[in-house]
Amino acid sequence: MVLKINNVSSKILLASFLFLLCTPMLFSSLAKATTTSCGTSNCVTQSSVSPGGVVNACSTNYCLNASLGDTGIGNSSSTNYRAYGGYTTTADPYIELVTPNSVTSVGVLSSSSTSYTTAQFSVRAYLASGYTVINGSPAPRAVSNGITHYLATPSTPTASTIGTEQFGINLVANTSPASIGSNPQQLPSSSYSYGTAATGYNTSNLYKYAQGDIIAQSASSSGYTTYTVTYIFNITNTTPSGFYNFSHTLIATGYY
Amino acid sequence: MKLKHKIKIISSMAKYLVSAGILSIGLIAPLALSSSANAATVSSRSIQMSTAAQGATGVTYTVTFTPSGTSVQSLVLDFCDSASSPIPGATCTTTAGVPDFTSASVSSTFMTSLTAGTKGLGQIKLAGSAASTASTAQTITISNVTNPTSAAQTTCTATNGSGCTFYARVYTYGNATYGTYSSASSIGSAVDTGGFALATSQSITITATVKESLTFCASKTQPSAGCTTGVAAPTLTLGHGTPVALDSTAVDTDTAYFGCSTNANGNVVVRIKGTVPTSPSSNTIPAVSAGGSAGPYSITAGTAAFGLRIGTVSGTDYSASGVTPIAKYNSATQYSWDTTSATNNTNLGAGDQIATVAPATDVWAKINFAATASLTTPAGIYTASESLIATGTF
Repeated sequence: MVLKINNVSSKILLASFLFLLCTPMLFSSLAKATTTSCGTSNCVTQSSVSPGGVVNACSTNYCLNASLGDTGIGNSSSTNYRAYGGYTTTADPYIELVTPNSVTSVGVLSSSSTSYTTAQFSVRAYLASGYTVINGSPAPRAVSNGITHYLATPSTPTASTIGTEQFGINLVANTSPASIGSNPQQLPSSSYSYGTAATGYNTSNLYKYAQGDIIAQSASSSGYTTYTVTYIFNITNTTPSGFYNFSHTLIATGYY
Repeated sequence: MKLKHKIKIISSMAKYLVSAGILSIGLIAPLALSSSANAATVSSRSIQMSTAAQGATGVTYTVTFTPSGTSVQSLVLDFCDSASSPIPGATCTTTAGVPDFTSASVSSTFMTSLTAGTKGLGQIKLAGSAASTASTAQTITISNVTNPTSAAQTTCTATNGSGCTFYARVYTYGNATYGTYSSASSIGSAVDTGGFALATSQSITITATVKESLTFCASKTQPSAGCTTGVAAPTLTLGHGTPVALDSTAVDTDTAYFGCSTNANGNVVVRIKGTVPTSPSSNTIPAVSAGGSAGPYSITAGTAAFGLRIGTVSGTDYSASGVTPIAKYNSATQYSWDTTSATNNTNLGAGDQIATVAPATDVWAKINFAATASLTTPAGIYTASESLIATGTF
């Protein structure tokens, strides 16, 4: 009899916890306030449901977020809501674009060979419906005899052709004109990060460039994705001389 | 034994009460929380910058969101630094590390005559002349914004560009005077709210050099592109008969070519400079029309004269593209040898210009030299040495 009561009690306790977890999903219209609202007097903050954990334990100079014994990781979503499970998470929408503070020279261009180089950038976005990364810069340009010349850029993915004026990029691993580039790397793994190279920039050995193009994207919140951009340069004998400068500005936009 | 049994029953009842309590919290909590959400949330929202470069000026911010559809007539956009948050109503630092809207202008169809009100560092207020009730996606374009600098973004790491995030918040209000909004942390009775995260970044800088290029040759035969083949020593002989000689009965001609390949976007000027045919005893065959500069002129057999021309047929007399003969040399039958212009063929300056060459890989032109003698032209072996000079402007 006592044992029976204990069993029923355990089931009710378990059901109660599950109900608590599922309640925001069931009361979808009511749960809106819990995800984003923080008025002048009330805020909804994150919680840790695990054997142990601490959120924002701070001293003067340092803060600690920790959790113990996570039983579920990743995220799940319905039409209107997304739930995140795993290590202690932030409650704020967030996007970060990390680019190297680098200046790279590919040297003197030649009509008889292809010059190339690579650079990396990383993006992560949190509590977002996704992000895009856009080419914000015009093609490499030089001023010669008072005339500004922009290197020609293929408007469709095109193979590198020696002796043809071309400036193009892609975000994948290539074998031509050399073994250069790399496919997007998901950090720490593809279970947490989902960024991909966009159409037009995701085919090996084919290059294009257009200002305003989306070159990378994620359809959901994502941990760090590190992209490797491969840049190729080809010129003709009549490509105007000069010092070509290209400041590749990347624009990361989060959608919330 | 009975006491132990009672304790167990009490323990069981306590578990029932705890369970019931948890269930009640699960049911009631969302209801309780919903009362704190006093504004709806704009959905599908984003802010796209035309450039994410730190400190960039003239930047366009494109703000897109879908309002709830409730009537609104004004809105406030607050931008908060990287140490703040995007949560509406929370503490927001707008004094540094945020975009500057002081000189911004706005365009949108969200509301009738939507115009900017207060605008400055980290904030722009917008109001329309009539209320909007749209519940479809809206776009507001804010131009001439200055991005925050890396130095102002205190968490922004210059070495790797991390931490350059900043935030934005949008609040809409039912009247044209921003409701009871007083500050970013005291937003009053907003109709809709929403938060955004944005990030500036450093640019990836790549440099490359293209060298100035000019290939030029003179040849007796037509040279190939880039003068790589088909080049022969340009030794010409003017005359006829055996032995070959000039006389007063004919105008004798011979031809040479120049070839050019260049990337000079300011074009290449081709000049010729040298002498008229001169004998060892310094007798000369004079330039046509006394070296006039307004040619071309005709050379008539029996009237001693020397000159040159480039023909008029593109593809035959010169390459189909890339070369433009100068007018006084551009004739099918007439010639010039300028000795009077400031820079002429014989004495002064760098020679007289005979053609202009545009950037191209295979440009050529055929130069026709002509001479005739008069009955009084002294006998002798006359020679002339001409130099072709190509000058590129880069």
